[in-house]
Amino acid sequence: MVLTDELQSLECAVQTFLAGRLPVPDLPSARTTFFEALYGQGWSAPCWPLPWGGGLSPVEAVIVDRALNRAGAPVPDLLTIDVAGPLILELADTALHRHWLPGMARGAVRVCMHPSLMAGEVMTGRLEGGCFLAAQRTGRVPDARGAQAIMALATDGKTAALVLAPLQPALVRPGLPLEPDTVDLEGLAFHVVTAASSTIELRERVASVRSRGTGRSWTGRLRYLLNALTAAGESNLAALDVSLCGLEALEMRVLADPSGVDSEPLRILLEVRSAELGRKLVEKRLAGLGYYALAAPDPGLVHNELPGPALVARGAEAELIRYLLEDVTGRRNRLARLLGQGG
Amino acid sequence: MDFSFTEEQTLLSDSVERFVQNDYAFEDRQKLIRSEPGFSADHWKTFAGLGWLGVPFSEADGGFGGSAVDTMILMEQFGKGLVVEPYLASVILAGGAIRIAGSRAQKERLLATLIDGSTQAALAFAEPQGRFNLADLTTRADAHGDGYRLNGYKCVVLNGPAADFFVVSARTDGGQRDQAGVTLFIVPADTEGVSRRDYPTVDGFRASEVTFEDVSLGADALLGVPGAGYPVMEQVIDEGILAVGSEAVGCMEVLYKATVEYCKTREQFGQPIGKFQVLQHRMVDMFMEHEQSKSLMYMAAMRLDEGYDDEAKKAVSAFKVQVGKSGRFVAQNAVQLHGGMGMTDELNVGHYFKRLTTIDTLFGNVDFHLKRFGGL
Repeated sequence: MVLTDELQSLECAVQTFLAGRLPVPDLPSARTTFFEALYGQGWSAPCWPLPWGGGLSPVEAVIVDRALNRAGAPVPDLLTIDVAGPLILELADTALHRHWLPGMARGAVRVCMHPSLMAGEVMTGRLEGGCFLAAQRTGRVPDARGAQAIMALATDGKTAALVLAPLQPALVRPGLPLEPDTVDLEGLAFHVVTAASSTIELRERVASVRSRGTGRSWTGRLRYLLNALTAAGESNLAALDVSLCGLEALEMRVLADPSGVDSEPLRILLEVRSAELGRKLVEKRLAGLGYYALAAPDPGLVHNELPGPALVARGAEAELIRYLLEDVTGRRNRLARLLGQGG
Repeated sequence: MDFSFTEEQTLLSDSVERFVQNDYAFEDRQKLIRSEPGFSADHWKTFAGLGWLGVPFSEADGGFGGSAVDTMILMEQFGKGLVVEPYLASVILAGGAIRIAGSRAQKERLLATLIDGSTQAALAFAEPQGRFNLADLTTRADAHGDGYRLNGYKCVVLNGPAADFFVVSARTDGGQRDQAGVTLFIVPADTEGVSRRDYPTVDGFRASEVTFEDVSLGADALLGVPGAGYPVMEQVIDEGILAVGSEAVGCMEVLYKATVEYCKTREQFGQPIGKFQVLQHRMVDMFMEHEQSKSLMYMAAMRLDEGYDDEAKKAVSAFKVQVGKSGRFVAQNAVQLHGGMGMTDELNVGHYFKRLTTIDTLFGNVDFHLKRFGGL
């Protein structure tokens, strides 16, 4: 289970870059400087094409991501880089590329997701030229606090559109712990990323972009979390460690198939199992920190119904769980279809 | 990062797969395990003729020059057919001990006949009080003239009934559980003082309880360095774990695929039960458990091929833990989804379940290997 020489060199380059450069946690200016440096290397959005991102292959991106996460380095928001960015790159015009992508890649713009992107509802409003004006008064949006932009699926009754708007802090009213925040949407002017004749068509377009590999190494994050637990003196970690070893071995198998076609079921497997293991690690960590971790219900919860630990957890852990737990059931369904289980 | 097989490995995999598909039907296997000696001598000759008995041995020893990956490929295919021929006991375990610790003369004398299939062997290492601790030995070998005198008792000696000779671990020095002071011996099965009680195991294999009573051994019976047998045993057993674990991965694949096919055809409420989401998700979990085990199988094989060190030991223990948990999960769900039929002797599902259950306890169960993994 060894990497090729080229991938090993890349991993060493990331490790060398990180040596002595990890920012102090919770110090915004240090994070900004770090993200700028990361952006300079093309590693903040490694899978995005040049000139917006690193132009790396998914395999190379995984190596970068794994090295960053194993070192505990902060990474730009996953939903921004893996969902919003690819949607803009694929579906928007160059003017919107120029407007949004540099800030997102630098870590200066975090995009939060309106529930319309994750669940069945759709935001309503009026389409005026290239602009969409929301008619809804408010929206319940997870993790809107601190976000600089909001993305949604919207309709004016005739046309459906994927839309994106800057988000001012004054528009966000923080929710209770474990609850989504409330965003004042009425009159908010959105850029139209792309439009379609129906929401079904638009959702299919979005799903098609989202189903591609993101170049993320889930195991890198999990290894960091496990190391943190070990450092905190937690015991009885062997079973979790074995599970993680299995996922690392699985990740290597996925990496060994650059086309990704043959390993599609394995990639979904990796995501589902990483989500499950990630939740266990986060719950253990939270318990160690004295938090009360809510008993986690079925993992197949959608984004706006996440269990407690995902919302109580902060930083890398929260990102991991939030991203991965999103639609685990959907991933299992997709796997069942790929494997032809239904007959 | 190369997971593709070489041309030779692909040929090996294809030839074993063909053998299992064409010559190892489930009904034939059932007849074999009810017969004596519990396996087919003709199949054993076929194995020898195709070179499979020489896979783990170097070309200098008359073998195929294969690696751990080759053994993995072969055993995974054996697992798919629930092959009962004593490949593990004779070639991997007893043969492995001779390969690692044997002198040139011993290799020439013993390995040649193991590889051509004219003799079989067994590794007598387990004792009732030892559980999975290879160093916990009450069997003693005391110096006697130029040689040794062996006394003791070994349990669950796989392939004991058919073995022409045993590789026996015994204490020549130190306390009952000391790792130092363990010595290996080669003991012909017909030596005076060796007695056996043979029995079939729950999974269709054969084993013996072997008693050694004042067995006189010459100096040439010594395998390796006196008192330094423990590391040899540890390596042999780890290679055995890779072998049985690979077999388990093969078993799991068959169970998963058989269950999917069954659920596509078994109808309930006017449609195939495979259409029900809850059953699909259960099969997805079976798929996941199988693939996670397979991933760790690759890792363990590659680590063993890189050299036998702590990293390799950790990978082997992680693999054994995963196989123990996954094997149980896959087998239990295969039985559940097949309904009452899954428990019958006539359907192969229950037999795979028995083999997977045995593999879980062979060479250390989940708890033992979790502890070992954590301690490395």
